[in-house]
Amino acid sequence: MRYKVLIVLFALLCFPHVTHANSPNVTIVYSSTSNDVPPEVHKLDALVSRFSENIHILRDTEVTETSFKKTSHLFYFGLNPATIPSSTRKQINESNASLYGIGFNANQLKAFEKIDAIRMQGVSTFYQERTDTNLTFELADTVFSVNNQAATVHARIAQRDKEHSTIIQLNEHFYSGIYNLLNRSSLLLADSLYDFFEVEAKQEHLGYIRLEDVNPSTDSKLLEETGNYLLDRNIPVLLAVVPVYVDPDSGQNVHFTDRPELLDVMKSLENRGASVISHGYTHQYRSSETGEGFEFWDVENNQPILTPSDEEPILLKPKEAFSNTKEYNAYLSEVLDGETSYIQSKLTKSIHELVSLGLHPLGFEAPHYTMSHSGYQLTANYFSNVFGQIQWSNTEWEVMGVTPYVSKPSLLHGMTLYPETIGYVRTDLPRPVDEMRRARDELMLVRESMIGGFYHPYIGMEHLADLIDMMESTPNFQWLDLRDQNEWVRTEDVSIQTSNGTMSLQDNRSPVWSQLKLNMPNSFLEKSLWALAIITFTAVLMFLAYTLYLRTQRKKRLFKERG
Amino acid sequence: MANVLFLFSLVMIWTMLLYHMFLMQGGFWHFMTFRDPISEWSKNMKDLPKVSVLIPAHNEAVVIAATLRAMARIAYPHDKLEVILINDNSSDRTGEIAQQFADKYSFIHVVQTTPAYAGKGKSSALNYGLTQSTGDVLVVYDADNTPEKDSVYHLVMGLLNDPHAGAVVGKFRVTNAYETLLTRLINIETICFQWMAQAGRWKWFNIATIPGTNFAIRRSIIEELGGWDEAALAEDTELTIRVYELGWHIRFFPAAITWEQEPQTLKVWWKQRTRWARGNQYVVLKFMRQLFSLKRKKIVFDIIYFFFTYFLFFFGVILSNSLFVINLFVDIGLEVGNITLILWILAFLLFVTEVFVTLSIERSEFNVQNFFTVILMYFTYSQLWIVLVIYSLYLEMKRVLFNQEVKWYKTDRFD
Repeated sequence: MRYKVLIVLFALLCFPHVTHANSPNVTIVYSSTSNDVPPEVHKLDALVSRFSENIHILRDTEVTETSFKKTSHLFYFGLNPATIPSSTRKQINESNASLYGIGFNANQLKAFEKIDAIRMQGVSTFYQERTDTNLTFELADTVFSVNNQAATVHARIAQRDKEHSTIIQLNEHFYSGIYNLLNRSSLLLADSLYDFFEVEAKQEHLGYIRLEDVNPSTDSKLLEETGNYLLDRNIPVLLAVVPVYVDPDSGQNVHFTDRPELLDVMKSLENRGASVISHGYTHQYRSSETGEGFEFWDVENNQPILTPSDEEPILLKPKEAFSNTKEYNAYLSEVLDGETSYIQSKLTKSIHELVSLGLHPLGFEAPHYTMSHSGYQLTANYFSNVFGQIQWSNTEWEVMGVTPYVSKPSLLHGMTLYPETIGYVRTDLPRPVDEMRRARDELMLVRESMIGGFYHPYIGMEHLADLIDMMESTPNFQWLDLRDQNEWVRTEDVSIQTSNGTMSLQDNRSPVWSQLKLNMPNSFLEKSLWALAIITFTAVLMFLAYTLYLRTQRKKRLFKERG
Repeated sequence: MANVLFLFSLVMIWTMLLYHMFLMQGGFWHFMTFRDPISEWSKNMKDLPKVSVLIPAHNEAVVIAATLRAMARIAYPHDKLEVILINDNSSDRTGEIAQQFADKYSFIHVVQTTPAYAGKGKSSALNYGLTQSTGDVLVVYDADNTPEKDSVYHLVMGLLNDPHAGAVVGKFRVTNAYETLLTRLINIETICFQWMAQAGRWKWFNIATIPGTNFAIRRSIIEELGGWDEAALAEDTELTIRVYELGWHIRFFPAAITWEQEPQTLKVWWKQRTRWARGNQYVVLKFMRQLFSLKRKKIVFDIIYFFFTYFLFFFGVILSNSLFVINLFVDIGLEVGNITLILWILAFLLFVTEVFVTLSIERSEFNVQNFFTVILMYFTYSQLWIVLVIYSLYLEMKRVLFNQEVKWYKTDRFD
């Protein structure tokens, strides 16, 4: 009997693992002309990652007889008009999984034989059944309308005073005529996933506000004012911190150690409940200025950064330059070694410097949100989360975006994405907060959507109260506090862990060495001056020693000279 | 802009300071080693050459008796020694006093400059002396010098044992070091000059400068050079360069010691130093033009050093001071912080410790009084040099612009 109790207890202990196994098993099959996984598919993966930890992505030509063996939820995503390979079609049709069809070619599948999809251009007005909301997005979209009387409708479109269904449900199967997943209308698809996976959503909208680009050139008064205002309102504000300010024009290279008053402000804000996230190390590459430049993407050549700042960048050769994929891959892995060491060094420096300063970074935000997919994979060794947006494409930095809710996209290799969904206060607009309100209203289409935005402390107080009022007016709104999550940040020597509102830091570096490193002069000039000072000081000591030596020899010399 | 200028001045100033630091190291090293070969060299002092001691004198009645008394005591075989006092246009009792010594000592002679040489300055007087002398080795003393008795012997020792030495220079000390604050400062300065500039350069580069007194030179060299350059105000610096050009070097041998008088009033000091500064500027400009055609690269280095001292370092200091003063009133965006303050303090400490080393070399000079004098010196005497260079540059410019003739100013002596 006792053994049975133990076995039950043991089984209970194993329960967390069991849940992982119980998470829906998802396969995404896509048809596309592109050889690489298209950004839209990465986006779909990210949206689904809210519901599943088991996601497999297959191109329609890669499907085999065993592909869907464990699949509980199957997506078919047609990005272009194409004929689905017959074997794939057969596998999909014979699968027991719930099927979600998106975009082109869905009517080739048995489940959607009768949906009668028609492509419509210039669609901007949508209607959501669940919330009974009509919404017109800023940009027009091309979507499929479907005509099936038997279906349950989740979303409709309105065009020329006529309504058409666009997201429908047929038994357990779903079809979405909205297929440009990088567009705003994908919010409707995102929300439909709750129904597709039959998940009960929490009645809650998490939100956050970041004070952006806090770096050694930041005005400490303005940071103090805005930071304290937010903390006074019990908002666990985030500080996106760049440890080094670089201005190559003037040759300036400023660290927080050069701005003790600013550092004091940051520390006091952190003490009061603010959370620091690493926003890169210099927020620039080569000849650009901190805050302006990209740090993890070579924008000039639109490719990952492969060489350190002081070296001429290597131009990534296109796949076509190689006779076969094997050669190309060998080449790629060789040049990407440069990226690996670059990113590792930047991330390590950023974390180490912040920790040496007495701050506790709890997350990461890539400067201008740009980073290659291999970069995300590396970053996942250092951080448990990413703020901001994600670069969906591995070749075009401009193809970026977010999921409307907190997610764990496969691209991020385990990191949680805390999406920035409402943008920031743009002082070039007459009513910047209204723009953000509009984005927030659109997000209300999606259950559990996050209301994340940022604010530049240099603006001062002007729009801050409005912004916070707007954010807090969101129904069921809650501020995200990173310290309440299980977040971690680590390097080989340093680790920071949060749980239940506390932070714990472990620093295995030699304290003397890390302080010395922190206070090392930065510019060549300063380094030379210090070297000069050390040489001179050594000489002074030597000359003092000579003087003392000669004095001790005085009497001896007297006799010698007389002799 | 301000930063670039600041950087420039910093480089200029610290190039000089680092160089002097380096020289000090060599100077100390030379002090520790220069006596080592003396016992070996003494063995070669058998077949001694004939020596002519030349003493140019213009109205030196105040000091000449003491000088000649010292000359009378020179420990060198009298049959191989002639002391020639060159009485140049004196209107006082110089000739009369000198004649008394000449009457008493057979190796002391008094000659009177002839009109072709008379009243034109030290170089001209020496050139006349040259015609009247017969020695293979020429030794020059200023009219106020009281050499120690074996100084001539040591100078000759250097020449005999160093076949590459065209000239040997000894060390000079100050007789009136404790007369006034000024002489105390000058005393410290001369000690530094000898142990840093002379001994240091000799040890590292085999270069020394003829200081105008207490040196021996081979007659053959002077004749080959056609005597002293009468246009030069600093005939010694000028001669130095020409000796090197002939392929000889000049040895610094501090075993040969002379004592001399230094200006006791600021006015006299000012005139003397203006002459030196102008003289050296003349030399720098004269040789800068032919810098790269000079055969001896070593001496090129030395001319560059002078160029640094009188032009670049000087300009660096002026610039640095100006930036400092301007920065007090307006923000010119200087981006260097605490480190420059540290460097400033270190520069001061460097000065003080370097002077301490040289003072302790001269056993009795490192005393409490001098300890404080050194600290005072940095802020007073050393800074006077800036004013001096400005003034001499102004005079030199005026001379070039108005085509004025150089006038040799003889240093006033004190009882």
